[in-house]
Amino acid sequence: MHISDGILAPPVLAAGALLSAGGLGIGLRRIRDEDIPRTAMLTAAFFVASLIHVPLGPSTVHLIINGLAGIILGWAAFPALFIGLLLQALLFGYGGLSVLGVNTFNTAAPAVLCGSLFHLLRRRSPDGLIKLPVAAGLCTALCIAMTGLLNAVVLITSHSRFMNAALALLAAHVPVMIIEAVLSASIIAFLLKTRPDLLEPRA
Amino acid sequence: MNLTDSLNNHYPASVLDRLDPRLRLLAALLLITVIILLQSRPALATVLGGAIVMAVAARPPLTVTLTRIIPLNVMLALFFPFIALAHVQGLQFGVSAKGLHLFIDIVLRANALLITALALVGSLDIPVLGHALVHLRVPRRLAHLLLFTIRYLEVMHREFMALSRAARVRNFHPGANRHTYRTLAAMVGQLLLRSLDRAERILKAMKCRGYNGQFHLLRHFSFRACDAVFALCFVPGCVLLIVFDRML
Amino acid sequence: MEPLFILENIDFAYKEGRRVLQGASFDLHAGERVALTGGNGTGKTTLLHLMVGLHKPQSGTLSAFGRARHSEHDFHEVRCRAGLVFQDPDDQLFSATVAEDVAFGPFNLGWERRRVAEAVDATLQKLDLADFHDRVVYHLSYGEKRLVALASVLVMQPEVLLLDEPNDGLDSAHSARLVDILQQSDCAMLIASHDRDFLKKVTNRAVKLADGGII
Repeated sequence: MHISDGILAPPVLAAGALLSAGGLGIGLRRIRDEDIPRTAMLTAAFFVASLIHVPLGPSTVHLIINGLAGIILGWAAFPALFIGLLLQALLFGYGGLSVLGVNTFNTAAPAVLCGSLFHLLRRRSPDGLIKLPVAAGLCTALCIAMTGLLNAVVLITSHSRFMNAALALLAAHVPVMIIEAVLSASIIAFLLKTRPDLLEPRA
Repeated sequence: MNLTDSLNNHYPASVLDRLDPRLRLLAALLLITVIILLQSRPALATVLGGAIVMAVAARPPLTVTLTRIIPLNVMLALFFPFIALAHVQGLQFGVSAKGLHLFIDIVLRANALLITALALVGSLDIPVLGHALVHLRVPRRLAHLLLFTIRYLEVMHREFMALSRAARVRNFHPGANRHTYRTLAAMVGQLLLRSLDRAERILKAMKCRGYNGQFHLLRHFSFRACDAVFALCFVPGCVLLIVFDRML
Repeated sequence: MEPLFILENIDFAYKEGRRVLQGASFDLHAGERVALTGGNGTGKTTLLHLMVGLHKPQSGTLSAFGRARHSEHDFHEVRCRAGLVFQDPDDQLFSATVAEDVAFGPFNLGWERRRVAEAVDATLQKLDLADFHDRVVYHLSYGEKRLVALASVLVMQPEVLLLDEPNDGLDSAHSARLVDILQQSDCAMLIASHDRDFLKKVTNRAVKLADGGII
């Protein structure tokens, strides 16, 4: 879910750009040169996954899939999501270049946070107390909720008249949150069966 | 929307092609900043007009233009009731003058931003754009990540389409049910695995050609007289816009 | 003259335990063009990867260009003199444009920019790919990608070419061009393939992988 060009106030856009630049800096410092192909392939894979139409009720939604990116990429989710959003803006005109910073921060910051939360649960929780797919589902749901909240916050702080729009946008995240949680849990279950080493965080 | 189609640049040759791609990126960045900062409606209308003139010069194909402009304005239209409608009483709503003014400004600004990007950035081939970013001293790793991602986007998409075709020939019809979600999850999981295997093979192939952590670019851009002329018109134009905006 | 590659009693198993090579020995001499055959999963690709150090054998010795090779550092030189062409050209061609990709290896060899540009042009010319210089890799057909992948290795002027199923999936026109290119080259070659007709045209000796050894 993107915020479009032309809506947000200059200070909000500037803050988003600065915070994203910081996140990008940390993310890039944690990638080794040898990890560039790996990170890029995952970025491409996540981008392709975000194009899938997932049926929901009578209609379909696109995945944001930032929670899963956070779990698999850690801080490298910042550059990965930035590149994903940049390409979406350039190739399809979604989002826009002026809001790239805000959109990057609003998806990547929750991703990094939820990724760390997932790995904390993985390491700390006693065996069997919480199953990893369930943990992944919860973390990705939380991730979308935070993204929705941040999207609402940037609208509200941009103009007092955006309150209702912000609430509507927040509500629109709820179905995405449910569907991402279900899918991420299944994807993590799939990966645990086939390549458990993938869930070891790198960056 | 077709990814492979979108990756191909359909812009015909135009006068803007004579400009250094680095300059076009910097110009886009400057103009986007200016548009964000404009406050008065005449200035916004002027900049929208200017963006349209540049877009006409860049000659974006009609389909590209429409598939960008229509979704943006539909989205803005959905936004309209939330900001411009005011509650009168009971079930009666009216359009508030303040809200309407705000909405018009948003539409002008959003379209000016989109058309600027369409004119100055959209006509660049995506690989050229990547190279221009490298030469503009964007962090080296970020630029290489971008170039790698662009290169393999279509490969990953092809792998996903193969998975999805394989599911379809076995009569998979997506619907809102558990079987669909489990199948899609397996497909995305498979895609992630393949992307990692692919990354391993790429790194090996790079080592086989002596990779030692360095990338070199063959393509170099040059800043020529026409670039200087463009910059000499563009930058003062942006300054004038801001002055004009603040005087009103 | 001393062989270019000497492999003696090589044992290799993958981490997950699959044993591929057991006591495999093999020499490659200058001027030889060796066909490497064997069923699926007998270790043809593994053998090629071992020769350039992408896998390390559990036991046995490998020497290349007159020296025993063990460490990653040893193999850096081997990779500059023995070019491996991967089976899937998309694994090998990671740059946006053809010229950029062909230039990747020469830059890694430390050549200066002008020499790289000349070598790229000359190689593309020789392979009849001169028109491809500025083409974008993802616009190429599969056959074209395979020829460009070969160019990206040939440009480094290797003494040895290691080819993994080079003919696989090529139509007759591209296959004929490949045969032409290989026949004109004076590199020593080791070519893993299932295609007997193709191998007959481009090789002058044959070995077969079976039961972990080389016959």
